[in-house]
Amino acid sequence: MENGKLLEARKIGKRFGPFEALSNVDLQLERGEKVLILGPNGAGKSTLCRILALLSKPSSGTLLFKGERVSGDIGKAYKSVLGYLSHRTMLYSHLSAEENLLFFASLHQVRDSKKIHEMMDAFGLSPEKRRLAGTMSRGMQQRLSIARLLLTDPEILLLDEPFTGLDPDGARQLAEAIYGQGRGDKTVLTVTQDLRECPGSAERVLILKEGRIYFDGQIPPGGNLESLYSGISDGEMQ
Amino acid sequence: MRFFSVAWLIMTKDLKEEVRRKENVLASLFFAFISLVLLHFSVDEMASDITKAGPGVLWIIVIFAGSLFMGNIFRKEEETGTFCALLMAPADSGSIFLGKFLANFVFLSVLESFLVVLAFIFTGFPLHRGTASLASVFMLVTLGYSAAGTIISAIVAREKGAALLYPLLLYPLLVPLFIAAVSLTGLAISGAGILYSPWLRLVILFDILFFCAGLILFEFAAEE
Repeated sequence: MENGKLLEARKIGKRFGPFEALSNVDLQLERGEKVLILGPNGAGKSTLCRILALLSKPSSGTLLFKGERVSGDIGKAYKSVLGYLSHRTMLYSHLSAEENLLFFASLHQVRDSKKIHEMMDAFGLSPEKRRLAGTMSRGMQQRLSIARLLLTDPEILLLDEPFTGLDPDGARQLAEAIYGQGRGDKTVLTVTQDLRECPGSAERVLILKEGRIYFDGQIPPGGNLESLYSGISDGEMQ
Repeated sequence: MRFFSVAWLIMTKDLKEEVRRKENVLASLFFAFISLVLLHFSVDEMASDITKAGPGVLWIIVIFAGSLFMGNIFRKEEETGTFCALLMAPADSGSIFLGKFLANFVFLSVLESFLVVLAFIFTGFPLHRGTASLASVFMLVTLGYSAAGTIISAIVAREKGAALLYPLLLYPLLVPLFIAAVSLTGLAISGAGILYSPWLRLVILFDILFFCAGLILFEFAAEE
């Protein structure tokens, strides 16, 4: 591995026609790092997250996983350690909770059926395992989404506004599942625009504005993200 | 091996979901049924020409009923975000195409069987003449139609107005396939052989072209 970097984005750019969504974005993630991406609407946060999740191809720049360019077999190896969660449930509404987990387990070659039952127990889904995902409440669906996400035990978690639409209990449960005890080895990148949703355990913040990085640095101990963010938003370039 | 197991997994999941969801399956089958009922009421006047008009009418019904089903196969996935989950799986993108293609092929085969039997009941469509040729024509045309329908469905899934774009992109591509389908069906039900027909070669070429293009280009078709 090159300099202990797990994931590296070099000079990433993305254009949608004449609109430049991202420009020369550099980002390095180390193993176990917890990073927040903040920025106003249209800053390019979700675009960057989707590029890192290989859901969108960058117009320029390269993505490296453990020092090697992400493509072909390296791309498959990268996908096998990747977990992605957005505000959408990413569940099949006409499959039951158990069938959803079985499908994604097979897709990701998770052969241990005990793991599926452990996940359902851990997220309180066992009594509802035969219920169709589409008939569940939003909170239950989100629990199932988290179980789907963690089923493959991903090394890297990319979370694109994962708290949107969740009630406070659901948001707390999600934060606990991702940032709680025993998750220290996971590399977590969370995209949000709402400072109230920022998980307290993040160590580093990256602020995007108009497709460019305006700030990339450690969150000061006991640091006030709000003042940092508003200072940057007012135009202080770091 | 993994390539085919992923394709099989996606196909069985899709068919199970579609049967439970019912809306796409019922819309397609109901459209086919209503079209044949209408044909039944107009068939008296052209009874002597059923072997000429029948193939064209049947394939028009297949085009519309099939696209009602195939047009949604990726759009539903996109709406719920499961399309992203599929693309992020550590699998060849071609296996996702193959799984979706197989689901479409199975559904269209069921639809066509239903349609041909109803056509026989309602209009006296001559099934008994050249049954093997007729089955071969339906299978070969359905392969090409499923391949083209699957790849176009993937291309438009993320676009605004996908429901409008889908037929606009798909139907012009299908013109050569369905001209050949009508001609071959006419030959099959008249008892003439299809083996040496140039239309058969066109259908096979279309199948190979769109199936290979789907396998190779799906990765690019599915990206934003």
